[in-house]
Amino acid sequence: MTTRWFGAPVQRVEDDRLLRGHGRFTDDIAEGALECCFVRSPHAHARITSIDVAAARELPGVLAVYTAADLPFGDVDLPLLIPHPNLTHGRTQRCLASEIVRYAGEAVAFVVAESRYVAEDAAELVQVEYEPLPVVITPEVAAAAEHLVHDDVPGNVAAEMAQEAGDVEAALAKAPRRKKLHFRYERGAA
Amino acid sequence: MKVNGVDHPAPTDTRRLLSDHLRHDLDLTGTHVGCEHGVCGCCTVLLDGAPIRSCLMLAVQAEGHEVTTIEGLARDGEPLHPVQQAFHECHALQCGFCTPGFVMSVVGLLAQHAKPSAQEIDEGIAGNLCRCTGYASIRRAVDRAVELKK
Repeated sequence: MTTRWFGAPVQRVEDDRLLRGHGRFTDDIAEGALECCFVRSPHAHARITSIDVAAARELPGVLAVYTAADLPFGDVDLPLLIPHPNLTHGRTQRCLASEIVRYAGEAVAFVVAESRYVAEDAAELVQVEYEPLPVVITPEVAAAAEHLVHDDVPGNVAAEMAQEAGDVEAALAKAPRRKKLHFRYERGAA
Repeated sequence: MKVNGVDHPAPTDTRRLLSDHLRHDLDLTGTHVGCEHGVCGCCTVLLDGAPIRSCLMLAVQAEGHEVTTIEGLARDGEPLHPVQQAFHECHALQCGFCTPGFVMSVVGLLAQHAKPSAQEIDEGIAGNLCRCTGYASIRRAVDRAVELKK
């Protein structure tokens, strides 16, 4: 380990090919890979009443069209990657929505074809019937629990957690000024 | 259509995007496709010298025009174009996926403004997204390119 470069700008050695357009990213490798296109929900919350993929499967150049019913794991919820102990009602989505979609853009079907053009054409041929359900958009509306996002999650609350350090009450009692803040965090993952 | 100074036959598939034509028919894979709907700017090329998004144009629409891609800026074995050199010196790239699009936007910007103001630089690169570097080093690279072009 040397420290002689500390504080000195060092020129990268990998830039030349990237700057000349000679980088090799996955799609640059012409190995005849197939292309795919997802059919996605236009609804933020809806029940899927039917999916018809017959016309999409018949389109020349289409190799496969999958719905949840075609997958051996189609009715299995994806695993909870971080099962925090406070998460009493953690819920995950499925690979493809099978009964209910819970956000606009949730994948409902998956087309594999010879080209991206054919895959997109076929995706447009997939007929999905939806029965719209009440939409729950913000954390505040979710907490009001007028409508449930998941029938088996009471009050739309997945976890409750309060973190404290030291004697909070005593510290607040003798504080000359107090400030109350409401924070909104972006979601790190879904 | 002339691409990087070389004449090419007209594309036969009328639905072919210019980006796909360049990448898959002409094997010029330096033009990258990120979002495929005109948001990320990775596919930016020059059409008669002006930056355009090649994923929002059909290849047949480029007939009779001159297209310049990243591969056309500096021939292999030749020194980098001043904008490419400036990106290298200023650490204006990391993974390099967005880089060809940025470089082409900046080449177009400098063709229009020889010495762009800070606001003109921001406007010039506003159509390109970078997820690695942040934009400070890219702005610096534009200023450096102006120096190198002197």
